[in-house]
Amino acid sequence: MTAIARPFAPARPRPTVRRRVAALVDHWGLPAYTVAAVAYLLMPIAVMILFSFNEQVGKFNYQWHAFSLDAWANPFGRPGMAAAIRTSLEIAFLSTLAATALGTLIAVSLTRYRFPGRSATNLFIFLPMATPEIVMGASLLTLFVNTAQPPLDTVIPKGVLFPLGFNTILIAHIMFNISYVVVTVKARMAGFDRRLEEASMDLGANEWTTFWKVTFPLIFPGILAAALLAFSLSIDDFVVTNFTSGLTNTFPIWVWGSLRNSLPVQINVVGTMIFGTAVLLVLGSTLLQRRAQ
Amino acid sequence: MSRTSHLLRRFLTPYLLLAPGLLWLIVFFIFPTVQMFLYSVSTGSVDFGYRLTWSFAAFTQIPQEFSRQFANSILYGTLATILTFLISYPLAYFIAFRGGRYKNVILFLVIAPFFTSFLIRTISWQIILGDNGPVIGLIHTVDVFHQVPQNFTFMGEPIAVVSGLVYNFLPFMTLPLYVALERIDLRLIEAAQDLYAGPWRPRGWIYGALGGAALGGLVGFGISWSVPAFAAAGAVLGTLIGGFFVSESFLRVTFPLSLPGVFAGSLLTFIPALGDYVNATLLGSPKTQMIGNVIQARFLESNDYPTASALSFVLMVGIIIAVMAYARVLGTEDLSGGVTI
Amino acid sequence: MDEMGEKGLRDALETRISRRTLLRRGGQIAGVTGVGAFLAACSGSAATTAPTQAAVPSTAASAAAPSAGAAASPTAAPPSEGPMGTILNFANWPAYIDVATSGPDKGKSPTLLQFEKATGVHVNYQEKIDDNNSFVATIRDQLKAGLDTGWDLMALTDWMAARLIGLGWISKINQANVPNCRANLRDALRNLPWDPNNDYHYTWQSGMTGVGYNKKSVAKAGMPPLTKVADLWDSRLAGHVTFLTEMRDTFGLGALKLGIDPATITLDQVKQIVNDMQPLVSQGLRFTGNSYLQDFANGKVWAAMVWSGDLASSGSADDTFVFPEEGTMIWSDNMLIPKGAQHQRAAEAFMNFVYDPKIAAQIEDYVYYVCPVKGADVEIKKIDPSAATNPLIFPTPAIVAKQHAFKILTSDEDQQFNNAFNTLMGS
Repeated sequence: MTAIARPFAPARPRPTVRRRVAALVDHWGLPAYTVAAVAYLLMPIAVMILFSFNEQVGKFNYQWHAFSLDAWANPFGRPGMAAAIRTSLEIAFLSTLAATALGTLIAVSLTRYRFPGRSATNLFIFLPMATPEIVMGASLLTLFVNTAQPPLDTVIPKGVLFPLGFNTILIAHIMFNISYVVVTVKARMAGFDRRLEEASMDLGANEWTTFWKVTFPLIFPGILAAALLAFSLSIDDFVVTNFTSGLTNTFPIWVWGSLRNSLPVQINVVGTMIFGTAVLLVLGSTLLQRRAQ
Repeated sequence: MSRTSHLLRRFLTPYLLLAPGLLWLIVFFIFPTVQMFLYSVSTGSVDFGYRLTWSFAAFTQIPQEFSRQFANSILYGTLATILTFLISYPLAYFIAFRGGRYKNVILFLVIAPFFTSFLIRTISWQIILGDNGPVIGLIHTVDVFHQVPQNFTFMGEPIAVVSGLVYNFLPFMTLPLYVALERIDLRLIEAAQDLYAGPWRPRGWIYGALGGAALGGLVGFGISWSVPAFAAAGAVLGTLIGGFFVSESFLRVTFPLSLPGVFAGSLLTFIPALGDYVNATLLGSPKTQMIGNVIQARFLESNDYPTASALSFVLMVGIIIAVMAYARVLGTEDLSGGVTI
Repeated sequence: MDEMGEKGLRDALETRISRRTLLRRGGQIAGVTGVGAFLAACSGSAATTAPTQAAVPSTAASAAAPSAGAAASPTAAPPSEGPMGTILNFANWPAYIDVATSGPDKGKSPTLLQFEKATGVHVNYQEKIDDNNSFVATIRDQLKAGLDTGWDLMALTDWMAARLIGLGWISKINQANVPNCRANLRDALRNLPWDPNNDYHYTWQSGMTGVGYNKKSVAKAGMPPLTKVADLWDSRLAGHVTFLTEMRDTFGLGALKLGIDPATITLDQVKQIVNDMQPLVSQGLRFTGNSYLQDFANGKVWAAMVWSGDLASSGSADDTFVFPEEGTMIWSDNMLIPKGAQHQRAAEAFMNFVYDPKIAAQIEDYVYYVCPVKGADVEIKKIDPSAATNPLIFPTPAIVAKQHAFKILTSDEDQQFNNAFNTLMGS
């Protein structure tokens, strides 16, 4: 149909009204839309920050009462909160590191090599993402506990997988992060021009040098994106953590626990702090990168 | 160095690269998942332990007991995916092609919500959409003729749950779209623009109107508000977008090249949305409960592991089948691989 | 008289709201509790429910047997004779212990500090329990296998406590180490059918579930003050009522409304209750934890099923707790030492410590639930005279006479009841 239609279409652009409107819309509409979309994305964050300055009246912080710095003056004034935050950060950092390494290796293997079992691996990588978190959490718990029983208890030292705690949360977070890392890195590598590597090899570099000098810098943005995703998934995770945490509290678990009964302003204060720290870190690393260039 | 050892290395390398990560997933994902399936065909109780009896009673009760929650999940999950896609695409497009020196700043703002807790964000939505919140306030302010009833509310309604899902999973859609768009060779687009006559698609507004009406109708149906009103609004929006925004070169070059991102983004949105229960818990009401709520309740409150496991299993298998079908529709060579997900 | 609204008391309560974040949860109502003894005497029914668990321990024991070889298997002799150690891992509900609001120890619990000073044992106090089931889910397999759960002491609601004791998962308390508990436990909390000699538990706090409403909203709806559970079904309140997300609270009050005894409730009666509540759900009834306070404040919810401790902190003189004509539900949370605990001696020392009336009064003056310790009302007068006469902390005999406990369910019943409840809640 378009084949018939096109011969009648104007051969070259004429500045019709429609064309002018389109140009205007194109010039202003898209940026305006972007601003609106970003505002939408930031709105709950603004609310979070605003309500961190709320005065605590009653148990819940859903309604604006009056400006107050009380919660900021005593941000960790709730028992267990500071420890929970530290645990969250440590686990997020370590699980990001491990999952990014493991996931990137898989992504490299899947995109650079053709080998028997590749499709099956692709499918396999999907499974954790297609699994509700609650299933992962509950099933992991049974696994961990089984390791404390014969004959596994003779092989696995006490404290590694059992009792539940830091280690088990970490293991779970690495597990669910791997797939997301693979997916993100692969998306970056799919458009990767293999000839660059071949050129490098032709010039005498070995595979190792080629990887670090050519491949890695090219896929680095993908890896960084993957790491960011992994970090945010980990620091945010609630469901899987609940089943694998034992004695240890992470921040989301702590928030959910108090949410059933109360919503202290301090939660917003800490949320704001975490947000601010993340912003500073990203800004700092950007500045450093720029200086390095 | 012999040729055989080189070949052997060539052959082994991909497996060696895969090994550590796959091993991790096998031990900490496959093992427990098999255990989960065994629970679904066992009988017993948490306190006394379960015995494997290969009883499928937990599965056979599902259609009768839980079809409503499955329907809610699919409806809200689909709506959330479509809406996040519609919101994200122009955003990702702008960042990729027009971001210029602000590219990184905008990207950062898009992922900024990730730097606050999922729970806190959803709590913020409770405030924003709440009965004393700014949105309801604005509606009553604008509503000078008092057409909106005084007890008009979002909380507990499907629209609140869908809003929460859309917001919480939006970055999961935007990022893959951006990655895919950013990879497109600009020269291809230029060539296409040279090739095709108009800056817009002939009769684009008609398609836009029809598509918009259909989508609007679906949204109206999904949040159980007026279908015709939403279809009409969708048609108007669709006409504008189809008439002024969507060019022939976009449809023939840019969009097809961004399909990997569409695929990845919609999966990253749809799957967690389908299994989510936090939004339905915090923003919903008994009538908007999703299958995740059921699984959560049966696991943690009723301690009915066989039912919960069976539901999880059905959900998981359903998602895998849907993903495969979807991969086929988008014409990927193999599941995920070709589509670079 | 059913209404708890004396002005003076209310005022006294309000002055302390800012420092008493109390709250907490969902008290699962439940099982035979503080007034179990009373109930047993007057209804004769509570006693029939507990023994159903008796056959259990053998199963659990056989499951545990193979684990004897585990590295540090604590199933060996309970260390209650041994040294105190230096740490006590205590899992409790949020905001369920006193917290200093000023001074150098601001944000810390004076009780825990005093305990550390007295015994040298540091309490690793974790607000880890926000729900009985989900907490027990994290330790169940360890308990089953007789392994260390990581906890030395935990506070669980009666029905869960009864279940765990019946399953043989709780350590016996060495009574020689807890003279205060023996002496000061309120009489109403003794002789409970599921642990008649307090071999396994001492109560941490108790609480009641009844009806609460906002005076202004209810007046606006053109209704007289609420006096009974059935008033929540009034069509004038339609769409402005919330029930609790705790099955035992909601079904308990629902049973009282229909004249069903919660202590002997059956699955058929549960179905009756569900049918009775279903129309309300269609009208927009919601189920909440104690966020109803917020909903009271913004006028969205006019009346609700509520927990006694909450209303003291609501911050509004319009929010009123009603002891309904049909009666209230009563529940307790109990200190338990899980099997396999590494610091049993310290846990017993702590139980003993908090049953000192002075310490109990100090805790009560912050958490404001029903106090299990005799003599605490005398002590509390010294720090907070109004609290001593508050029926929410020290209920009058007339109130106690109408308190009901929920049946101790077998795990099968528990699952069936919860499934019915979840279906009612849409999940």
